[in-house]
Amino acid sequence: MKKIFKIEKIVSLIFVAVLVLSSCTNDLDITPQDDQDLLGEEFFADETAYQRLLAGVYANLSLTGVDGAGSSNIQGLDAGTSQFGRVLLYLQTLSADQMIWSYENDPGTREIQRNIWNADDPIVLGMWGRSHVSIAFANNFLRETTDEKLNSRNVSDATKSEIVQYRAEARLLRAMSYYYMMDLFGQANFVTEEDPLNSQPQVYNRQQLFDFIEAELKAIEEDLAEPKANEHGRADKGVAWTILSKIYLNAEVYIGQPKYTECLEYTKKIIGGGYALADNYLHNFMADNNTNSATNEIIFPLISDGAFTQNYGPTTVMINGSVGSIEVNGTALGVSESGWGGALRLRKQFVELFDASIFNSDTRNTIISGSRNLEITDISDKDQGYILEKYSNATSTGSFGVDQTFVDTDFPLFRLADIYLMYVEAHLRGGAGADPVDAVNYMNALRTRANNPQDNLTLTDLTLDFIIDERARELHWEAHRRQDLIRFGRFTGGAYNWAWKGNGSNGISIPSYRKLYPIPSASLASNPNLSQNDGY
Amino acid sequence: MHSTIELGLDYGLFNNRISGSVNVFQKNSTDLLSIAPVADGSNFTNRIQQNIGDLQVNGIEFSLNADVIKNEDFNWNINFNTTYLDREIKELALGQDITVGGIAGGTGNFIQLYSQGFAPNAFYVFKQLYDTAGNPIEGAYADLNGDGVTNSSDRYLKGNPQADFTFGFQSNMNYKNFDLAFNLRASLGNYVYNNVNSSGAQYALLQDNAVLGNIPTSVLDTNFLNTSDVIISDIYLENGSFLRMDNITLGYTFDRPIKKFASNSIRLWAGMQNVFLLTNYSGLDPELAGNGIDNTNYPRPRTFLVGANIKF
Repeated sequence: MKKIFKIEKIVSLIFVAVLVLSSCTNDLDITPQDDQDLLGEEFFADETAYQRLLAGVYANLSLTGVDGAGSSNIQGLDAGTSQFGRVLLYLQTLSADQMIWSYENDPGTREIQRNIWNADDPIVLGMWGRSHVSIAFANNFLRETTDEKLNSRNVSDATKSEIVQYRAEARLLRAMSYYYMMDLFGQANFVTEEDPLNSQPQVYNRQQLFDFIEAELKAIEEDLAEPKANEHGRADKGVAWTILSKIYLNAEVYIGQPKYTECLEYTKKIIGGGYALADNYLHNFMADNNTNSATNEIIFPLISDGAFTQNYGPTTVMINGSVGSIEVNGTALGVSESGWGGALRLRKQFVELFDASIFNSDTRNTIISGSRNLEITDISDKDQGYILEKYSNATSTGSFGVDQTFVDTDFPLFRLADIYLMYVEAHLRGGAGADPVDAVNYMNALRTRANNPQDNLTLTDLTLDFIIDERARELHWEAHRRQDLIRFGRFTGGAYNWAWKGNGSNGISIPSYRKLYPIPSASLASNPNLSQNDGY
Repeated sequence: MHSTIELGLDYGLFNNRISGSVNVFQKNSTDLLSIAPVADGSNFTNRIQQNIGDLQVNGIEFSLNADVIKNEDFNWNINFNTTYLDREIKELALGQDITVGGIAGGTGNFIQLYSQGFAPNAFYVFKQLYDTAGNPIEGAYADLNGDGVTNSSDRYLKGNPQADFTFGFQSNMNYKNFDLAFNLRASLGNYVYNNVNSSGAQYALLQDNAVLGNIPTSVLDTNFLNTSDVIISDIYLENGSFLRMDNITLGYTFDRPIKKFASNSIRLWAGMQNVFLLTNYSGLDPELAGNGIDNTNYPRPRTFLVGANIKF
């Protein structure tokens, strides 16, 4: 599957060639005269090169390096762990109240899940490094596709018109990287295609990043494909609108200004864009979620394929990791019988969201309790705590992915159910332009789809407390939780303590500076324009 | 770039029956290739090779060669040498530590660091805490930076895989037709991280993934339960100093056993390789191919040899 969009190694190999060469003797002590020369004009002789070069930009969201799942183009942490979706999942979900990783000897995991991370945490380094490499790849694509360059290569008009859309997609991916930097770190090295390689980047703060992302996404909107009109795995207008919706929904956190009306404007655009909920909630998390009914719902996936894009990304980790140490239920999930031996389990506070009897038949409730203890008093004891069976390497038709470790299941980074919940939340937070009838319908649609008997909610049921809990029930393990808890004022401080928060088994308050991650110390040292976030 | 300052003295005493040398040196290596952070976003990676990195080695070498006994029937020659080395990383790119020394037990787990002011490959560990009875407390480490939280900021650098002192001793004896030769080697101050114990000697592994397994007996000393709590503990860092005899050979030579020929000899000999090893190290062998990380080390065989040299 997904052959159309398989990754061409050559593209990335050429990237790798663009390195500063230095050596012991002075005559080899050269710097590249012009980084563009090294890309090789031969590569662009074939006009399909532009699509392949764009594939390289996308590839950085799924792959870690050019030589398989064990290779990486960023260093300072384990190659597999440096996968974009994986570090994002760790920083947004493992750091909060839904997930526990049993193997705390994996560097960085202990600090993340106990909220005691520091600037040397390899997972924090991975997120910062991976996102900035995405930015560098996008910038490279933009440098290689200027009108001047295309004319000098006598690119055909047909290809030129395609490249207009490619460039918009590269800019979108760059804006998305800045969005995650803004959310997680509050600042970023700001590099565009105008900056030469190895330059000393300026630094943008949250306000500057916000303004850039907003302006950039609006500027490229027209050049992007219509929603659902692009190839699988490539971004369209729906993705740009989703990122805009998200920066507006969180604008009070980012820039101290409410932008709920703008959030509603863009969530409405998405909802009107032709998306529909998958028939079955679990279709979104299955091996064939690139072909089953989830294609109607997923707005942007991170590609995972057991044959073409092997990686230790979030779905591979969650499916192998959620196999229970007692249950040994890997076969049903399309991985090896014992998977990773019980690497992932659930924290108590998440399980309790499904306590009410109405959630017994809710298809979003894939919790396995068995004879397990709900409480996790010892993180290393893989028999403690309930487990989850949400993601699977099985298909909706009963077959399995091609590989027993590297799953075929795409990670649903953005999907319609999230947009519904954002729409209602923006309305509840005072945004103008929502239709209350729609709001109620969207929430009931999620309930009906989940086979929940309580699918006749009314407007009075829709409160912010309802929304944060329903978001957890609908979107758990999808790399949203930290952002949500911060928006609701429940991540730091002691208002809401979950198991192992702040390094206590029952949860302890954590200081508010932990709403942001620290700038990795090596990255801080390599760009003097950066200053460390407060508290670290 | 290397520069070396060396002061040497060669000596010979008693008609050169005792001879040898003393050397004191300092070797400075500068502009070593080093992986250095590059500003994120400005390149297609976050690290590039650069000529940044200075290493200083201070050392003393001493050697002695002596004909202890030298007469018609009995000859005894010994050779002794010792080296003291002190290595220190003087500079790393942007002052940033580099993690090295990957270990078994944890994805991407490591145990060593290149750090300014320390020897290369210095071990980077947690300081184990013990109860009043002297037993280690699982997962309890000293909060070295005193911030009230025990996290990776509390790891410290202790020891390194390189010996401070190495010694060599060779002896050759001939008495009439007998000959005896052996050599000894010793190493002082080298540290070994026992990865066999650190990743395996925990009770939880007796039944890993519901399958019974064997674990190292050192678990009886620590009573540790879980690998993840203890794998970085300095309890697994051991002094790897040792004295070993690599080989010994005893021979006897028959002069002209075959009278028919003018010149011939037969030497019969027996020898042993890997004769003994004296060390406090708890693992198989503190002398390792890797950088002081004892993981999958193949044990040295003890070899017995007998032979005959026949000359015509």
